[in-house]
Amino acid sequence: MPAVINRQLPIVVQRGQQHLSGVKYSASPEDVEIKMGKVYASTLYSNTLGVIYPNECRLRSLPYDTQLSIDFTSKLYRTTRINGEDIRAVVAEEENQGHPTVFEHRQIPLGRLPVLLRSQLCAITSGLNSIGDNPAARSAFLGGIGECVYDEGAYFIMNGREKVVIAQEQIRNNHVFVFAKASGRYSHTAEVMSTDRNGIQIENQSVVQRYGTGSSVGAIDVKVPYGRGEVPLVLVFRGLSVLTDRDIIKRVIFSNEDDEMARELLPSFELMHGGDPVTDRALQTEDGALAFISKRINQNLRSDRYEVYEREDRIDMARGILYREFLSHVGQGDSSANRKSYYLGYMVHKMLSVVLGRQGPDDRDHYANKRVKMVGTLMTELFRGLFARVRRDLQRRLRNRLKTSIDFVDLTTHANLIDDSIITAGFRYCIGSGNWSADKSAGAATGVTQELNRLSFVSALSHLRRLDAGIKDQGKMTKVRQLHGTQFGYICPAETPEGAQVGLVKNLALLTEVSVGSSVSDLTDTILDGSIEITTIEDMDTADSTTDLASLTKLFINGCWEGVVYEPTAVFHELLERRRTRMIAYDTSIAYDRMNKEIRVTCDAGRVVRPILVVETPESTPDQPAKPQLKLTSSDVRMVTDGRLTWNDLVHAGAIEYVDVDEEECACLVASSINDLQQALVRGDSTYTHCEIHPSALLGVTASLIPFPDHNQSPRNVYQCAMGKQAMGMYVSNFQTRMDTAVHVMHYPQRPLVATRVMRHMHYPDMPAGVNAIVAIMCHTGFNQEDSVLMSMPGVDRGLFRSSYYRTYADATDSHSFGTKEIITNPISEENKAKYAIKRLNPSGFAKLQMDGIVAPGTPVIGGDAVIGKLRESRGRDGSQLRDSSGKVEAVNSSNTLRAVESGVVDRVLVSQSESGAPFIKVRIRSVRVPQIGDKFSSRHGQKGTCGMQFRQEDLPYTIDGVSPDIIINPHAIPSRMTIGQLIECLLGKVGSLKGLEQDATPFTGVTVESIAEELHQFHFNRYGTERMFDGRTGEPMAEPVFVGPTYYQRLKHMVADKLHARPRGPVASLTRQPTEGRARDGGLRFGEMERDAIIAHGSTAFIIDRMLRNSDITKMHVCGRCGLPALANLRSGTYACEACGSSEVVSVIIPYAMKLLMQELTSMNVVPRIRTTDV
Amino acid sequence: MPGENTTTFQIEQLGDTTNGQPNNYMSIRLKNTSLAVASAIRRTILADVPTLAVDDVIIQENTSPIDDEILALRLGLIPLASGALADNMNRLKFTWDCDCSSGCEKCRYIFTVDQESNTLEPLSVTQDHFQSGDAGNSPDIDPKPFPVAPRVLRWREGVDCHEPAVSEGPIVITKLGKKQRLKLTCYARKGTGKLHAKWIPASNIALRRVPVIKLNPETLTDVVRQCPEQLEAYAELCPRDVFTCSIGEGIEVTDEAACIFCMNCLADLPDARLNNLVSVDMSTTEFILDIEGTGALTPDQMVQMAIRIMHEKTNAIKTDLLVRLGRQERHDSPDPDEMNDYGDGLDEAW
Repeated sequence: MPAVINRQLPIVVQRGQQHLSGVKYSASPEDVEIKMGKVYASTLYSNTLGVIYPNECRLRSLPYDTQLSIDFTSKLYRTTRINGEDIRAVVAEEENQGHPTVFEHRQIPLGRLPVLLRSQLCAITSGLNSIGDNPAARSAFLGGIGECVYDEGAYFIMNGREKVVIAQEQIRNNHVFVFAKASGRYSHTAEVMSTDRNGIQIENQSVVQRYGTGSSVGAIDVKVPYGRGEVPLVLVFRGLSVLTDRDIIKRVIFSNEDDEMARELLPSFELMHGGDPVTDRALQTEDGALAFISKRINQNLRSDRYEVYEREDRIDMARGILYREFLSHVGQGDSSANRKSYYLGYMVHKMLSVVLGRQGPDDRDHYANKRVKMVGTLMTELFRGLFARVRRDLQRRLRNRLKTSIDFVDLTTHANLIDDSIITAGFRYCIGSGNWSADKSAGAATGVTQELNRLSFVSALSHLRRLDAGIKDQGKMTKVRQLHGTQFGYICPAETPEGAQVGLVKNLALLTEVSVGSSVSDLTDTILDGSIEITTIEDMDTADSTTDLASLTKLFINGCWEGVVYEPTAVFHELLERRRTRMIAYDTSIAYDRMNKEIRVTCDAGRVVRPILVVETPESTPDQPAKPQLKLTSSDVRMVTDGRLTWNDLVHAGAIEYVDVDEEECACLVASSINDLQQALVRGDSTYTHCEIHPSALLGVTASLIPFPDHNQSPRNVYQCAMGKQAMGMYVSNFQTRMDTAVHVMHYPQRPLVATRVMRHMHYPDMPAGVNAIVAIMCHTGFNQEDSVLMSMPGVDRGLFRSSYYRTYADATDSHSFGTKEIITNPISEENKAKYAIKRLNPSGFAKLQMDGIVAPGTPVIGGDAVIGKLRESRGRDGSQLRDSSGKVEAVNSSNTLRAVESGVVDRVLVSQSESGAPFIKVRIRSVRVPQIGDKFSSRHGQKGTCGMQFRQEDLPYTIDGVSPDIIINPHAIPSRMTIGQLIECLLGKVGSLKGLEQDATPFTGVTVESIAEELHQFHFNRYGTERMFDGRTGEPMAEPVFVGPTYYQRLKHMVADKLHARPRGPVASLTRQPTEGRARDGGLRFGEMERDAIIAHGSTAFIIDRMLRNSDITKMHVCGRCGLPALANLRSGTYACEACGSSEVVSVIIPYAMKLLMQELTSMNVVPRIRTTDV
Repeated sequence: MPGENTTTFQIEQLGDTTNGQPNNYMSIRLKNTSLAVASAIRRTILADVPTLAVDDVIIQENTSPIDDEILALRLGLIPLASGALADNMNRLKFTWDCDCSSGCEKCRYIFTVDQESNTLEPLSVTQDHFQSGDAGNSPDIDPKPFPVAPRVLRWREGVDCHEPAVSEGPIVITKLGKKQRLKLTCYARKGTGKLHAKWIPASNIALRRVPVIKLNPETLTDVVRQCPEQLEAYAELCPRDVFTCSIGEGIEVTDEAACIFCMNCLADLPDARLNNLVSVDMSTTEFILDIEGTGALTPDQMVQMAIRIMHEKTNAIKTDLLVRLGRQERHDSPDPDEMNDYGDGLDEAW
């Protein structure tokens, strides 16, 4: 990611070479040119404190960013007309009153760039680089700067919040997609979305369409970018200087024998002979075709209507569109026309192949057709947008300035033409809000950034590897949500949310990387260096026209047709060889599609790639016949274990290669395991070209925590993937130095006894989130029915699943509202009482504040207590203090109080300064959460349950050895859910606990229950994990043996203490006077429509009145007995009158306040509601 | 009532006391008794036998990385030698039975811990750093309730195991980095397992019925005659090696007490002819009670205290019943104060 930013920035900036013109003298126009140069990103230094490390930004709620600056040159030019020719030259200094006419500005502030943690610009990276490879020293350094030792970075810090940029999935560019249309005029379309070679230019779409209905069935139209309506295919060819029908046919139909396709093309030609002969003839010329096309260009492209243009201008315009915008990825100059005509022919050919049923339409959900936009790409896009705004702004300022500079132009003051707040504010807004657009008004992608999930360490890891399909609330759309076969190995099949986002939000598999992209021109140069026999399009065109394209294999580089090859297999192997020898970047994909006779070489960014082992057939030697074998040798493996070889060495040596979906599907046959490969090799019929590194790598981060997922029903793995992110444990190693808004930390988390092999790569043993509990599966009492669990009270007493909950309250005094001043202070101190007249001051709750207005660490606090005392002085317009009649200063209490339903002990207090230097305070409250009835727990197999009861030691059942379970779950949880993995985990856990060793539960390793059973038998236990149990209450043995053993259990964040809520009476909402909603506001429990229905069904009218009126918004009002409108009633004086009709017959009615409100609203809309009353 | 007043205790196995360790393990065989009595002993030890444990912690200074609450729990869980209660459970009173209002030397025992690290090496604060502030503590409490640590680990022998990781050192409360300090005062109180697991004197109690395993001689003869080769495999079925198979002579029960009632020898046998070869039953009058202590009390102290408590309780019921019966005859209204005040009467009964 840092590589992308570092590599992309100069490119973006170099594109900003721009000529700005401001007219000074009408006689000989002068202009000022500002040419952008080098961009600098400074390392992170604050002005006073030295290096700012990320944790300071987290604590002080600052953005973690760095200063960008730029070099630029201002030049003053003058254009003079000499001999009828305009000559533009730099003005001499003398003519500018001695002021310089060329001025170079050095390192002018451009804005602040948010820094991705651990990127090249990050202070941690430079710190670590200076330390070297010693792990202990690295940990010590990270600990010293308050960082988590295991944190991988890859997120931003914006105002203290950690922000992840979620990778966005989108359809691939520069690739022809043929779709069959179910409805509409067209039966088929071939579409291509073009971007330029670096993926930087704005996208535009070109479409080829075939009529499916109407008079011209089979005719083909083209939609060009900026087009208004369609252009017949033949005319586009002619516009691209392909004039004869013969040449057009040659480009579309690759073989002379292909009469079938020729027939399909016929309607397009017939279309050209419909009108009068003069027009037909005119359209046969290039200019005629272009003139026709120009009429189909979007008028908005020019401010004037095209009619005002001369025919010549219109032709130029159409040519410009065709040459520059149409199929822009193929090329953009005059020389590209021929290539474009071939590419257009290819598009038509592909579409007609689908029409003729030779190949199926393209699959949008095929993962080879997807590209993933990661942080780098997204940041580049954003920077491009923001930089364009800077340039527009600069242009405007310069124009204004030149207007006022009468005598001379002062180039030296141009430094302040750059508004550095545009980029700073733009990045901060986008990363802070997740609305990814340089222009706030434009429709932006929302939710691109999210706050990093810090519930457990794996939840953060998984969050950083998330993908978003970018499809928002579009009804069902089942197809895109389904797991596609091509996602195998790239996308985790288990980790996706349930509900609305199912299948749209995905996660990368463990080994998957996203290609960063490498230079196309380098790639093209490497391939077309002449050593590989490739006939380029240009050569192809000049060669004799009888070349039968159908028999040749086409070579594509990044979707652009470069030429044809006669020996595809040889070329393919040569290309592979070049990648394996590093002549081509490792993440380039080389796909030989034998079916469609195409070799596609792709190096763009955003492809998902994964490493697999290479199987090769070495050169045959006299004593050893050529036999395919794994390129990775056992000595390689030994050297890796010794540390003499690294992963990168293996990739460099070509023993491991990265393939993308396209390549894997077309050109690889991957053995699913080493064993499969070995067997095939022994049989001698191996056709494998590659081998999986390990089959379990197809899973993602959270799915890799599941032991034996291959023994579970698949939805259970999905559920566990969701729950693994809610499990509490150690979420970072530096939690004591952080001030997170709300986090849980388990006191005694354990590393799992039964673990998968990949866990350690995710630091799970170091940052665990669970406990190896002894779990019995039995019906015991009734307290574990319906997914509840019984728990051991002595276990809980001794600290089982105990956790702390930390919540941080923050407050700062920098107020932006006009005319106020805030001070952190204790509002009820004697001093303040004497000085201020304080509004909204509820005297209770301030007792725990110190004199400085902050609570001290160690103070127990309860809901409503002020933790940060604050007063806001009201100020007059002139900024002076306002005083009441007694001379006291008017002030409003705006203290920060503890949430009403929470309590705890003040853990830590941070007193610091905000970005603007104002006092800034954070207070962390801690409360211990002892597991209690109603708290939620789960195994690692999607088996969640709430605690139903806790039993004391003497009442718990125990085994013959006296072991009593920590958790008892109900056997009914097993059969229908088929989580066999949990049973095997338990069995293997028992072996592990007896052995004193961690056990391996990696999927697809072929561990059998029998082998575990045999081991257990050796340890003098029943083979299948059952034990005779005794009821602790009576001592009686139980009738049947019980399945017991250690199972890793997680405590989930949902706890009754956070949810328990009841209210006898309480606050009401001011608008409706009905009870407030929600626990946080001490709200009422809603008596909703369905409850109402039930009571109506019972006929209990009085109860409805009780619930919905008396205990809600009962109101008394007076209405006129005659006209029914609200009437005046003065109860004290006993005067009653109706202002509307003058009657004094006033009736008091009891109604819900909401009704009164409704009547008033209706009245405001000129509807007159009346309450008619009768005597009862 | 079966086994009334005839229960006999036979000590089967005693923990290793050779290296000065407290006696932490005992296995007793109860004979001639009922399950009710045996189970009551177990339950009483777990729920009602009082021990001492740290109950209140006043933290003066804690700059260690561990939160106060976690420290307090750790301190509470350290077993304190409660032998002083073994012969006289009232040597220290329950807080709620004591006449004092906020704790006195009769109902609590005070420790202090004050440690500060001055080195870069982390300093482990352990149970050994407990200091008994003799001032304020009753001299009657003897032996003194110092923290003890069980160092017994039973490990089944003869299997290929990883070395058991047993901490031989004292129990660690926390570790202190440089300049960190821990200063606190602990109040140890008498309590029972009913209130909190820290007062449970036993770390493990297993009560089981004595297995009765009988070979069916007729089936055995048949098996020896028809399929003697099955016998070895049959003996192997038992995970605890209850049977010994001698070639030619058949099979015999050699370690009856080891049976874990897994019933592998009864169900799903490989050969139908092996059915009914043995019968596994549980004795209704003989029980084995395995007790492993935390170190607060020795197992025999636990059993004796449990029996005394049970005795007290039954006596209390008896007294109460007598009182009620007597009052009913006299048609007197029962005095509510006297009704609930068994304490004095109980002492007299003893």
